[in-house]
Amino acid sequence: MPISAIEEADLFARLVELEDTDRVAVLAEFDLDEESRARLLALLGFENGAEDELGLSVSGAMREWSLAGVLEAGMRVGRFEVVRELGRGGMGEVWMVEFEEQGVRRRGALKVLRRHLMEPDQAALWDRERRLVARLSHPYIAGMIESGTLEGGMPFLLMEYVEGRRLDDAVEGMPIAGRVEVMRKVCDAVAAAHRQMVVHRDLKPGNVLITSDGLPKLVDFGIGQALDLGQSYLGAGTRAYSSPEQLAGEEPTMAMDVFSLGRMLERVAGEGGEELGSIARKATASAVGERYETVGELEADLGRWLEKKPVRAFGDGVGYRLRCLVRRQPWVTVGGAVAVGLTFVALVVAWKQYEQAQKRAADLQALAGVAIFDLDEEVRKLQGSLKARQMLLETATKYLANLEVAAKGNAVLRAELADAYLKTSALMSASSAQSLEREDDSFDLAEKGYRLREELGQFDAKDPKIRKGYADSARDYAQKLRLKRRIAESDKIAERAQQHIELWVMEEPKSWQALDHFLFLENNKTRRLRLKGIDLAKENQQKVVARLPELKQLGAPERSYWRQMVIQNSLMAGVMGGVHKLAPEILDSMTKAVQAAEQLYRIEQSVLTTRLLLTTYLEYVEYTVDVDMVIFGENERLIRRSEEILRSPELPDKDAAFWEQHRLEFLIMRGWAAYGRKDDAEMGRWFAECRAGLDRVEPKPFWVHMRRGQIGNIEKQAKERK
Amino acid sequence: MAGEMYAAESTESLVHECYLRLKKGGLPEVADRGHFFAVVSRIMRQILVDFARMRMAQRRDKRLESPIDAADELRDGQAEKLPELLAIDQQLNLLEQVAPEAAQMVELRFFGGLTAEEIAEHLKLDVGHVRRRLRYGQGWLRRAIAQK
Repeated sequence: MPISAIEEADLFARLVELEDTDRVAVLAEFDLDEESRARLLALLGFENGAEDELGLSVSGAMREWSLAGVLEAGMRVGRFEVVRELGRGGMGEVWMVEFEEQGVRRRGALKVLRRHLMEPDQAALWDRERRLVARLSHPYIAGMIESGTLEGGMPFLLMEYVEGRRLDDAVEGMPIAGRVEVMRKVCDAVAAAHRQMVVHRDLKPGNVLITSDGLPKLVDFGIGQALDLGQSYLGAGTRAYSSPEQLAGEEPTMAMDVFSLGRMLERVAGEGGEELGSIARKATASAVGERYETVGELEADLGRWLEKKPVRAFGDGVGYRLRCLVRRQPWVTVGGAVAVGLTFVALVVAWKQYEQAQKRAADLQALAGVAIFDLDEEVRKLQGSLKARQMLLETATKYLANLEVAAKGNAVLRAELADAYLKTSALMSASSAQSLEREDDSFDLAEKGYRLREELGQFDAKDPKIRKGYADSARDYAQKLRLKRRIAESDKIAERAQQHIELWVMEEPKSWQALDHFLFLENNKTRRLRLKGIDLAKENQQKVVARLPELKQLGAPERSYWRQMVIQNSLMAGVMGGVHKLAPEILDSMTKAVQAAEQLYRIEQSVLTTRLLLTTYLEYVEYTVDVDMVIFGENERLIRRSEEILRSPELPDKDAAFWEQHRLEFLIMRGWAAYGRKDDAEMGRWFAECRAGLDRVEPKPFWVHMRRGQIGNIEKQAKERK
Repeated sequence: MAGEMYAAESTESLVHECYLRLKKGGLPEVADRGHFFAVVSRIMRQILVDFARMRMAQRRDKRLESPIDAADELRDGQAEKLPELLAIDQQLNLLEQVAPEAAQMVELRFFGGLTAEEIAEHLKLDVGHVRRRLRYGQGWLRRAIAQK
């Protein structure tokens, strides 16, 4: 029986990957009429090579489309007979045409836009320029004969056809004075155009024709400026004559024409001596302010040179010429090797363009952002990946800058921005590695991110994802505040995060992040309980410490695990601090904390881990001395190690105040340890040095007063002991 | 060198023209990237077909005026691909009637420049399925064109 097209397609799919003999066998299973069977077999025969054949047809047509102009030699459009092509650019074509006018056969240069540019807004520009060019009337400018539209609404300009040679070809063999005279005339023409408020914007030797009389004619006024196509459409030849600001895509100005004329002068009269060189240099100064102000001035200087009078450009001083020596064009980076081909890549570009038009850039940025941060986890695994991470960080920072600009007044983007702050801040903390210099930036971002979330009202958010983001950010900021020893602020923010985190732990009991946050907050609870009594606080903190292994089991990264080990064990010791009968337990907790801090420091040397290590060492010495456990060897080791770290040249200067605080605190520890050994003389020396240091700290933060008080107390105890 | 650059520039123009056509149509809502590629492939096809029709018409006029030039051009192989393109377009329209899925894939493949893998990704289909459907569509077209 005959089969439908759908059945045919399905059968084809089954048969297409089989060998010929198998095909016959499979076909035999179906009750097909002869015609269907023959068609199917024929189809299978045609399948071979079809891709290549059809692909060639389509790509061939694409190529023809690409290379095809609007007009072709031999065509007749309207009353014009198209004779030969005079020039072509990305924006349009110029053809020599012949036409009859009042019985006389005439020639003209017909300019048309390329198809893809016939857009309403471009048509308006074209029209404006058309009217401007129509006003131009100068013996050295090819004039406009007519303008209008061809069949199909294609706009055209009919210009005077100039029989002549390109400027650079025509001046071959001409004496230098003759060349300069031609350039002076060109300047005269351009100056006249400028007086009519028309800039050429595409001045180059190819656009100046020298007629058989030896007179220049400027062509192509109008096309250049009618179409603001951007530099990618400029041909390679044109770029050499374009000013830096033009290449940078700035609005057309007369100064651009001055520059191009200067370049042409270099080309045409390059070997004309120092004076001409100085004229060309002044015209082509990179900075607009250093160029001739008008084309008229350039023309006047050329006139002075011809009359052998001193030129203005010369004698501008050695500095000027030195500047010229280093003149360069670093902007030429466009076009060239961008051989896209009509491929996926080009389509993606178009897609991006399209998305922008739909104002969906936001989504795109969000995607890019996530990709950046996901990458970090991958990069982290590589060894010696510092450089890669720095690059990643730069990318992230750029992304952030874009986002900051885009996010103004857009709540969705601002929420995205808050996330990006958090992520970039984490990236910075981790990436600061040896150089340690990004930590303040990281703190700033954490702060910005947290503030933004408060502004956006995320505290009261219903969406659990947003709540988690809020908790994450608050905890991160609180932790960073704590390291800056802004304890009161830190506690306040941590408290705000608490209810969110408790909820999170209930919702996701298997999430190490939730547990990590939770333990951090329990830490605050212990501290509050401590105010009521050691026992309550100790009980709570023991529970916290007991849960630490859970963190590891749930798959927390080593960094998070060791950080919690340090923080929770020091707090455990802190809770018991000063109670002599608990001394062994204090020592036990602090030993664990020190080991964890050292482990963390081995894994990652960042400002965070360095500070944590120093603080832990300090606490170890402080707590043990406080309960009269002067463990000589260990205390001495920790103090020495701290001093070593503090002497390291890698500590960034910008954190100097912080490092100085640590130095002074370790001086107190040295003095205190000496007190423990009943060596009052040594104690006195350390305390004197420390006091001098404390006096130098300006302004005086709270810790300075606290430490001064501490020194006073120890000294008082020493006196009483005697 | 120069030719290469020009071609690159023109490819850019084709994509640009495609974009302009999209814009002209008031930027239709596009659900996702896959849908966007489908729209773009369709427009690419239209641009090329419009162009081929125009150019063929011009050549027809020219042939009437000067048959010798036109014969030269044919010999140069200049005019070969455009009639093929028009034939493909015509048969693709028929294929759309009988096997719309295969027709869409062929359009994405040839006019959008997507590979079978990319098509599979955007249509959320198995790549083997896409390959078989593409082969069917291509064979179908080739047979149809050959029989004409």
